[in-house]
Amino acid sequence: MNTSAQAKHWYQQVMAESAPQPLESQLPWWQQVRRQARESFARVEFPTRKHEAWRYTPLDKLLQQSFVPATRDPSLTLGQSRPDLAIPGLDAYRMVFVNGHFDADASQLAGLPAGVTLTSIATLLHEQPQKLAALYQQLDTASDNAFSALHTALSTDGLFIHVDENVHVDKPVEVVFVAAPGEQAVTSVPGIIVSLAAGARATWIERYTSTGQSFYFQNVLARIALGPGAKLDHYRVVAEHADAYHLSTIHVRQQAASDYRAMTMHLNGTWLRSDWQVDLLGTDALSSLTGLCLVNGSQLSDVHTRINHSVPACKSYENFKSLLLGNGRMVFDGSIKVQPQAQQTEAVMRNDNLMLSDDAEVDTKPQLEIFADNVKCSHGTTVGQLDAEQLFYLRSRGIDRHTAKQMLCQGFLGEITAACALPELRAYAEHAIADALAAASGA
Amino acid sequence: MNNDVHVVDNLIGRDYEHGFVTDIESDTLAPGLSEDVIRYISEKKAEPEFMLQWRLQAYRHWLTLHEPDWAQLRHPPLDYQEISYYSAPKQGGKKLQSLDEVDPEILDTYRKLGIPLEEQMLLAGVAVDAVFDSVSVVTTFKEKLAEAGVIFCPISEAVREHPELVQKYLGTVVSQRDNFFAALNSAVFSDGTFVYIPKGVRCPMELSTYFRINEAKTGQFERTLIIADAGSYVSYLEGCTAPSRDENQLHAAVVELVALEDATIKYSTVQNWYPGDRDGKGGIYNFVTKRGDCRGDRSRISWTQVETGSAITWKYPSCILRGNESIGEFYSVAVTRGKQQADTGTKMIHIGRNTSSTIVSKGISAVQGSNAYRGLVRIGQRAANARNHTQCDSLLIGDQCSAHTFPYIEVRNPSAKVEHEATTSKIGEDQLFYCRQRGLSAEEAVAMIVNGFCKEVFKELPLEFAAEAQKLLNVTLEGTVG
Repeated sequence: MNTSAQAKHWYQQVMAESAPQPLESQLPWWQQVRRQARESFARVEFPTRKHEAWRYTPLDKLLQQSFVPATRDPSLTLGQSRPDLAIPGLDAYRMVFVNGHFDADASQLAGLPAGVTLTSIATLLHEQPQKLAALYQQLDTASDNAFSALHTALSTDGLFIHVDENVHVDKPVEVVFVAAPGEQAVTSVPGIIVSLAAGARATWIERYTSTGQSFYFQNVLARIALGPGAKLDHYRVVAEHADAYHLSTIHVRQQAASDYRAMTMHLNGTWLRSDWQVDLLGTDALSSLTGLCLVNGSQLSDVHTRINHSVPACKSYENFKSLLLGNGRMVFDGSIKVQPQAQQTEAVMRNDNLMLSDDAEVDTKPQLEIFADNVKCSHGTTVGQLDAEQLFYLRSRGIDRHTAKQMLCQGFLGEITAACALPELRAYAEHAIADALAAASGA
Repeated sequence: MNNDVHVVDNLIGRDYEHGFVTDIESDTLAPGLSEDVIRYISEKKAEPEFMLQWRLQAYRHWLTLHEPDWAQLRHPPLDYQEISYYSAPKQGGKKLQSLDEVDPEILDTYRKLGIPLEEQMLLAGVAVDAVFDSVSVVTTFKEKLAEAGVIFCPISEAVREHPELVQKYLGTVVSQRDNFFAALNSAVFSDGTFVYIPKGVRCPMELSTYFRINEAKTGQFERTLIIADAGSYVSYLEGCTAPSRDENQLHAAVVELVALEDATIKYSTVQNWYPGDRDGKGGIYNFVTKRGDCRGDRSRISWTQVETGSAITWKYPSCILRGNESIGEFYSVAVTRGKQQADTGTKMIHIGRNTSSTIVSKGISAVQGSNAYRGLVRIGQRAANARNHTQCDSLLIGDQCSAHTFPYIEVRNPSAKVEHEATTSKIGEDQLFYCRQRGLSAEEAVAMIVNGFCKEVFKELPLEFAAEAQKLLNVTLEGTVG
């Protein structure tokens, strides 16, 4: 079976399993959104390696699996006792989603300040469908790629955050997406809508974890809108099951003088991809995407960024570092587009990769497309291994090889983690890096 | 600055100085492409049968291909049946014994272009193969080169006189099936240059080919094959010009370089095809496949290009670093102004151990020019200790121009060290101010800054041509800043 036939088969299977939502008949606009998504999924081709954006991202393994949509058992909940649900020591508002469905019992939302809405999309559909309808009208729900279409066709729940004008959320919001696959492999499709009105501020941690059995496919579509002067610190921790597939498609729309800072950590998962589309729509906006990727074993870690400067005087900054520990593959595909009217743009893109093993592969593609002249844009990329002299230096001071390697790797990724403003999260990340290094050298 | 703007407007209108037409009679094949046209070209060149079969194979494969559409270029579709695939000055065909037999009009053309064809220009110390439309009209210093054992002749002659070398190497670097334009070239190439440097020989002089498109509605499809046998060295330069015409003319060349053990090939290009007028009317479409194969250990291929002409430039001089410790280099200055578009870059394919490559690309976009760097660095699984450094900088002059960078980096060996840097900016106000404050005009200041920007590449050119390239750059950029 070739890829497209496989894809078709996969599609039919997933679609057949998706139960029509009882709510659909009452909400014609929603019914339409879902129908359009189904139609466009049937129409658009599954990406292959001939598609420029999927050139280095093999899909064969994913398409060979069969999944059932995780919409079947929304009653599935977790007990509050699972320690993994919280980053140790972090004082935060907490929302938990199990297989993409909100689990109110495991969540902790007491004491939310006025003007902050933290809820699930399903709740909103039941209680304030008109509000969601209005939002959907502003969102671009057209699905230009198969995975987004699949997402929209299947998704019935997810995260909804809204912060009113000039409201500052006092504590970080930690949102944990737990995959709890049963006997059959599932695909869960949580949607995410985050909107900050003018002058609002929030810190949001988006974290993925699993109950530890079997594999699954997490297909996330996030839409983030920042009003004028709004500021969002966005931390993404992707620590899926080692055999799991994860795709996050993130659309960010930024108005004037807004400030978006995303830090991503790809920690675990057999096939991880984060796909950004950032539109800078108002002047003086700043967008910063940074991240670290640990590529264990034969995993794939893939970061795609598209930053579109369409107005003057915006800044964008990208810095991604990866550590390849096994025979896996790191893909970085970044693109900065500066439209003719976007004068005084400043854009910087960096991607550094450290290969610690013999069979790893790095494919990187930092692109600039510039149609304006008064701009400062640069990009830099490196691929290499640990510096033998640095290792020697440490070893000559009595540090054993393993520790020395670990120190150098921690130092390499330190530039990313050091920028984390939440000490508890930073400690968590450093711990995860140390664990991965220990596991790799033990193997 | 108002005054400068005025000067600028005057200068932007500057004409292409090589745009004249030489009025000579020529044999030109009616437009159109078919197997018969290929048979005609092959017969006209009195080629052996293997060559004709090779051409036909290429043509049949070409029919199955589509024009590539991935480049950052926009142009109206090309009609391959509208082009004449063969044009030769009337005397062509029979072998010329000396320069005296060359049509004085043609000699005059080259004199106007500043190309030293006369033997008395010995002091220039450069052997020249002059290609006029589809044929090579004259090759200088052949005897002197023959003494050293160097073969330097039109490729049509090489096919007849050195078929064993041609058959052994032609198409081994760029196969007939390589890409759309390479396949087309393989089918219809009419002339070009053939160079063979024997073992251990350091070529006693610079070799050079000068390409001139003269006839209207023709395409030029030349093919260059350079073989540097073990331990040899050669430095080769090509230059190109064409008359100013309203229609677009196609130039689809293929260049193949083979460097065996310890051999070095230095290939420099100063490309100055007619770029079209300021509204983008006319100009040469330059779709070129250039590739070098570092086949032997410790071999080295270095590409240096200065691209100032052509309405469209689509070319990626590449190196296949097959031999251990082989070295590939790519130095490029590409200038686009008016409505010119360039999508150029290189591929460095590291296969052997301890291979290294350097890429320095300087793109300058002025007025409405569009300039893209597209490059691939691939480190294969067995290419231990491979090393690459890439630097691509873009300079923007004018608020309607554009500059793009599309680097691809694929690393499959952990001992590799790959670095890539790119910057894009316009000429700094502070730099301009500094120069002007010291009494330089805006023009001079820009020329100085741009030349500084390109210095790294110019220093790679053979001395005589470095001066020419610098002059060419100044002329091209005059009047683009205000």
